[in-house]
Amino acid sequence: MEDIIITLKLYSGLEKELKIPDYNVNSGVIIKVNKGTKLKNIIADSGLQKLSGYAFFSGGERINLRTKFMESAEISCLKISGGG
Amino acid sequence: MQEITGTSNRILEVNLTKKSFSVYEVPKEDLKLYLGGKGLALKMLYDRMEPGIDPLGEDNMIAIHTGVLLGTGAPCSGRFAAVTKSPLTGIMTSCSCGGAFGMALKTSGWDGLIVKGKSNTPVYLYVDSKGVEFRDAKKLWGMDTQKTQEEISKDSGGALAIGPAGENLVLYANVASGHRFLGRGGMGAVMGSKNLKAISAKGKEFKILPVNQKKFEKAKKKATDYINGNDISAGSYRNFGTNANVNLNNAGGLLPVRNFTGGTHGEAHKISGEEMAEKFKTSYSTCKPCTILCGHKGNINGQMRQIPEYETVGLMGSNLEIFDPVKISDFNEICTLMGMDTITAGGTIAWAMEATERGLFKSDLKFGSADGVCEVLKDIAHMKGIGKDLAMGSRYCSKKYGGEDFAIQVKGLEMAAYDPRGAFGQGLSYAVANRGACHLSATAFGLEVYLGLMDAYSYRSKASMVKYQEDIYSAINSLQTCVFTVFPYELETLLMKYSPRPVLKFMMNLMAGVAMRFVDVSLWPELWSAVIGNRLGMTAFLRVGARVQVLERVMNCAEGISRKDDTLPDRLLNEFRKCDSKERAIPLEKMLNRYYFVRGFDKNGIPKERTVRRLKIKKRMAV
Amino acid sequence: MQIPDYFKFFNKTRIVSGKKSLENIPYELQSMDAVKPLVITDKRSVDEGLVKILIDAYGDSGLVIGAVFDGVTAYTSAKTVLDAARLFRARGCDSIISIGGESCAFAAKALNLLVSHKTEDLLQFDSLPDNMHLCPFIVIPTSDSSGRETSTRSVIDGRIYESDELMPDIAVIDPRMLKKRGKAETILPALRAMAEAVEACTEDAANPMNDSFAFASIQLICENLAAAVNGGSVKSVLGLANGIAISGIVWSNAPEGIGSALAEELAVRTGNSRELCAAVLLPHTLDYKLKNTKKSVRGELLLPVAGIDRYCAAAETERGLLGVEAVFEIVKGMNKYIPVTLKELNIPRYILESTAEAVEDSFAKQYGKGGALMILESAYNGERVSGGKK
Repeated sequence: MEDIIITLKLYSGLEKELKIPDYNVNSGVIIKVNKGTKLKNIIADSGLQKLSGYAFFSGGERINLRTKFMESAEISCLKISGGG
Repeated sequence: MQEITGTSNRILEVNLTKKSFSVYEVPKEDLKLYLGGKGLALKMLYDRMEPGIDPLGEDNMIAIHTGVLLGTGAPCSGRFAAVTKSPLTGIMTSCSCGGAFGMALKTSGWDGLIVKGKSNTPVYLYVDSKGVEFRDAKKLWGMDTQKTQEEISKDSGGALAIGPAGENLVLYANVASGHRFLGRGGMGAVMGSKNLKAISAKGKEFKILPVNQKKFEKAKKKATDYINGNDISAGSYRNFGTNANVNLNNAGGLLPVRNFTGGTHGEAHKISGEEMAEKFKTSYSTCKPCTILCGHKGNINGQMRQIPEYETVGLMGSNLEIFDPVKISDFNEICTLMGMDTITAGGTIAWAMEATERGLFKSDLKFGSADGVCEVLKDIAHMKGIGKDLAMGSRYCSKKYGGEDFAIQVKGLEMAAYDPRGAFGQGLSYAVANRGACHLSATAFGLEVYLGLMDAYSYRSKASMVKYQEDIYSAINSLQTCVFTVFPYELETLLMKYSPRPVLKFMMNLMAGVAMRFVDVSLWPELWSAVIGNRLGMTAFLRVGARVQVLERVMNCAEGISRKDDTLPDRLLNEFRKCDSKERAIPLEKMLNRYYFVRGFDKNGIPKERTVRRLKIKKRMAV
Repeated sequence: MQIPDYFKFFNKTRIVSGKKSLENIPYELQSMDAVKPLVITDKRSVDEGLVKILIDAYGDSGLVIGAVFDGVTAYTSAKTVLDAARLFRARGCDSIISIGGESCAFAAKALNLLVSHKTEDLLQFDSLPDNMHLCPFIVIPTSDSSGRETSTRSVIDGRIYESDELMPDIAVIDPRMLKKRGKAETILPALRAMAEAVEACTEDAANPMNDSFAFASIQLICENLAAAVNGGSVKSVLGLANGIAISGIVWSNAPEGIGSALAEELAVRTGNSRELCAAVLLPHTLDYKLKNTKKSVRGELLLPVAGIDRYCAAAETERGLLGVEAVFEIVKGMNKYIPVTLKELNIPRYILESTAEAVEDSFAKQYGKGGALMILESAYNGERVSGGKK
């Protein structure tokens, strides 16, 4: 099965809550997964289940836990806010 | 200390030409129909002001109303509303503001203030329970907003003040109350045109008590619990202020980049709330009383300054491709002291940068460079050099020099920092918002992108959703309380909290109009009823919102607003962004047709007579 | 007819009008040594199938259309023109056909400047010579046309580019390209075109050549407007389109008049369309001119406006006044479909003064101070201009 690279970027102080050491906001968390993996499985496999309640975005659009990744992508995970 | 139970219902009517004042008692019926705040302030001007008057002339008026919740200790009630005819847009503008002035005015025994006429010489008003004193403001003329407030606050509890921008009639000059502002539409210029430098109120003369104390305490506790239990109000806002939106909007493709040509930028995290909280060691600096605590201050280059709000960061940061938070804070500070709206200033400077790039306008401004921006901001405030043109806003400049397609404004008001190409409902909301491209009329992007309950790229159900949000926001602004309470008060209710997400999503996407009827909005009317003593149901509360919204539209239509004005800038309708996976165009016409239908407007966007009658909006009464 | 001491008249546009006139385009292009045109248009024209009609009309002519650029929007920006120029070069085109309203024609004219001079910088054309060698350029007016298509002007990003050479070589008016529009959409461009033609022949500098074009334009519009609005025959729609197209030539040969300057300024200040402002101001400007200048409104105007019968029945001294009355009648007759006073347009009164001030300086010599405001004031309530120097 072909591998793809998922770059998971954490915001809203999530990296602190998850106590990820040496987290770099420019590079994020790099996860190697099989092509076609669902977001739910990506975060479960990387041991970040706690994130499942937050909002995920990729390519400028909101995605959900059932979104499948067919190619390498950058995912942002954040707590939601209201407006300015 | 004397007590006011419920509300005093007394409004001070000040005539600057005659240097006199009178007292106006709000009719009980108006209080019930318009609640207070924005609603009553609009109604008072509707009855007093003829359409077609010059916004910078003697006939324009400013109406301020504090609402019924201010002073009672209700959560997030430290706000008041002001309404006038905007010199920037030529139509009505209404603003909500925090700071100490509202509380001082209310505890001086007045629910509101109407200022009319024009003084010959610079004056400022001093309000106490006895009435108004007209004080000489020659010495204050030329002073910045903060220094002016310091000077006149010695014998008062709070003040409203304009800076040099207001005095020089910059069309988007604002009015400061502490570090908060009556920001949009140029209320500062209206005060400046009346030679009115400031208004201060003595305060602490009255104590405000709710009529039904027990019911009030119960509602207050529920409200506080909701706020403290909600992820948005007690999480993102409290920790990072409104700048929590920077990363969120960058991820969701809503961030304005390079005069709205892009929706994301790799360096956006540098100006995010998270980054600023750490870098500037922020602490709270909020309205009083406030439970959400979104306002922050921090140590910036050795100075304790207010942290710029998201709109400032979006429009004067990413939109100019400037990702240095210190520089953005510098721009914010100049606008604060000069008394200028940062959204319009940022939008106009972005236009100037692009127009310069295209050879339409001569300036040294360029995207990605902070050089010269501070100087241009000062020039705008003092109407010098290119500042003279830029002080008129991007609509004027683009008509004069060309570049109307990239002047990002609606009805003359520059757009806030959410690109509607990432949330189509927000496009409709900007197009139909009464005061122009305003983000506080309806926050469709919240449901479309943040909460993900609606398909951001579909036109379905958007009209009903925008109508609902406009109604609820107008009603909240008439209580008056902070619009951010909408998240905890709605999302923490049982139905919203425990309904399965797919069900909510299905309902919202296909029948938002029906779904919205099930949303529990009872907390706001409960608070109002407890303070006033009259019953107010949920439906009646939303109806007030609709009434206020339509009344404002009626007033705007009398100024010439119609379908032709409910549109979006060419760039947003016809240009595609690189950050989007597909080329999508905002289906504005479809959404607009539906919106007019659900609002009860005719095809040209004018409220039908039947709609006006149903909402009990009476014919203008000359007062 | 009025003959000034000195006058000049220029027109390089041939009008090819009538059934199946589109089929002449390949032949016309070949006669200008062009074989591969770029079609520049907007989305609406594409959606209405106008481009397809043109392609079909090419039939078995042996020529091909090089490319179709449909990115023109209501506001013409330099970026649009540049995109079109890149497409023009990439496809090796040698001529331009514009389909649509004035924004398409403006973009086409600016595109012609760029591709003929092999540059990407529009700003270098600040002042344009009259002896440029431009690519062959054909305009196909549609129901969105305002008359400016056949003029010497192009407006890009608010900047005006003006030269005799910018006039199209040919205007092809084919009834298949004139789709049915709403009543107001039909009336407004026609009234604006008429306003411009009327203005041209009521100026001091009016000359016989331009007058004959102007009268033709006015007559075509007045005769066919009512029929075209009520969903009339192909003949009336074609007549109206011809009247509008001719008005562009007239407008290019006349100095700017106080009416169109006021309409332009008012449109900028209020956000109403230029057509609407021009239509509302038309009779009032004429009325003002009649009462305040001795010679400008000549009796001859009555002929194209009201027809030969009314013209012959009127005494010579009355004709000017009756011409103005007839224009009032035409505009008021349209009140069912469009607003005819500034008050109905909801224009705030305070704007009138500043608008008049902005325009007045250029016309103070001709009409004296206060003239512009008098026109606006009378158009506000739809009253007649009071008083006058006469």
